[in-house]
Amino acid sequence: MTIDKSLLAGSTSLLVLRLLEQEDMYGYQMIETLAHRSDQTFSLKAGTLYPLLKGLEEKGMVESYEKSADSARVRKYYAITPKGKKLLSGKKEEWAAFSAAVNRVLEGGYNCVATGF
Amino acid sequence: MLPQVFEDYLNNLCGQIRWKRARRPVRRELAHHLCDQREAFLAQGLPQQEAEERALSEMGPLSQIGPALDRAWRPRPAWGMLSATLGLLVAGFFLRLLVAWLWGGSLPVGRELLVLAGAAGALAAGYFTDFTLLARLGRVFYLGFFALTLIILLLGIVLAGKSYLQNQWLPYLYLLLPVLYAGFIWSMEGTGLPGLLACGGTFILTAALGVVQGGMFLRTVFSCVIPCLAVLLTAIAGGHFGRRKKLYAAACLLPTVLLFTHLFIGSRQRWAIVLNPWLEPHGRGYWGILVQTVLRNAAFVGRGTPPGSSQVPTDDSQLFSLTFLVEQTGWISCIVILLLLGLFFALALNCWVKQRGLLARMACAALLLPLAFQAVFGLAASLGFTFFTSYPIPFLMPGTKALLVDSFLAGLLLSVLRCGHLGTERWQGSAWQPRLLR
Repeated sequence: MTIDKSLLAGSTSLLVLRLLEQEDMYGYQMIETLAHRSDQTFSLKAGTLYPLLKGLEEKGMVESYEKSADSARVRKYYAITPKGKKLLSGKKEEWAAFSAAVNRVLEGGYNCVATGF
Repeated sequence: MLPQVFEDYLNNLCGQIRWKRARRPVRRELAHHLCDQREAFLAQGLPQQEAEERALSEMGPLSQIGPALDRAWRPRPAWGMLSATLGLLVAGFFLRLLVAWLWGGSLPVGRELLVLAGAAGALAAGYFTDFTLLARLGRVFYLGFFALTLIILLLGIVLAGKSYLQNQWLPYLYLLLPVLYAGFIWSMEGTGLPGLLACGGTFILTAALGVVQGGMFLRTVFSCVIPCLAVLLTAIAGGHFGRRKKLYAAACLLPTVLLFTHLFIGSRQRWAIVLNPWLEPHGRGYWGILVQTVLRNAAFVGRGTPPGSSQVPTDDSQLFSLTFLVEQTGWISCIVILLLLGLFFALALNCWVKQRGLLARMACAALLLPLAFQAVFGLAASLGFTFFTSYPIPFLMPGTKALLVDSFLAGLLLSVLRCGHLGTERWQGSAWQPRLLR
């Protein structure tokens, strides 16, 4: 099934922060993990991810460091900060309220079910 | 070695980022991304050429990713700090004119304009200097400074029969030492205790060169040793040498505490006279008594009483310019200067604590603390507490050499605040190793 990409807009930072909450990751790893966990539904492009990560880093939500991958490569890893965890917690609640509201409407609406309209 | 198609793609992409200094870190990260993606496709059994083409197509269109990266990577000028610094320079211009007029009845506008232009030039030179050069050429700069100090100390620099950069420049050049030391420390990344000891050893040698200059001992201690120690502790706290932070901190704090204890115990009498100059009214307390007498008779606004009985020491007019100004115009001038300096340092401190990159934090400490010590000890001397022959109050009081060096330091500080987010990566390799070996 093809998903309208505009549904993802605004939630990308939530997904990225959630990934980083579990472990520190580098950019490519984030794209791969996100695609894998969403069963290939979310295929984030590098052109979207890196500017987003830079923005999150500027706001202090994530921080970066370099770590050697092999003898020739030094990767830039990102880690979530306490400030980022706080933002993630808020965004999770926001998303829960939003998705619950959307579901209620899709299922006929709270008032309709409760009042029979 | 990247394939040519990746090179071309990255050149086109990074060429769209207008901030040239950002291109290198972006390019490096995206090159690794492309290589990872290509290897994933190769692992799926795709031929080399197709794997490279698919990796590029996965990046997204150049027309979208380029502008997005350009928007994300922009210098962030610290407008408040920049305005405060320019304000200080302009205020200093008028204050120096006022001091000259009150002191000698003349208005050396042309000379002061030249000094202001020189200070603005030094500020601009610092502002447009790429502070990440410290990371790349830290050792070269520091060892170069050491060699230059040695040459000046031994020979001075003689060009066409005229002597330049004689010993009187050394105290001012030493204000640059902490920031160069920050670069040297950065080059010792991940080297553990041996690296820390190397940092300590080279610093002792360089500081000793400053100390052997007559009259520079305490000045060097306060304007160089403490800022350098702060830079070193910042690096240790950031895990720069390794993970045994407490051991490393103890290794540099213990000798410092011993040095300062020895220093204070050995000169107890001197500190007592500084705080109460009447203990030795005809000796080391003489200047302090003169200054405190003048200040006691100063008005809040206007000339102090009794008028015309100026007793401000004229031996060192730079050091006591503020005292003279207070005597002639009242305490209001001191309050204005305190407010100006307070605003500058409050803004600088706020920007410093916001820096997330370790190099930027180290550089901020190295640049801000020498200015802060100059301000504190300059103000203290003006109020009659002459701990040692200090520098003039930065930016505001007469003293061309100090003004030029201070303006350069302030420019570098602004450069760090503007571009500090470039150098936020820290090394967390599986095995600690010096940056030069990578």
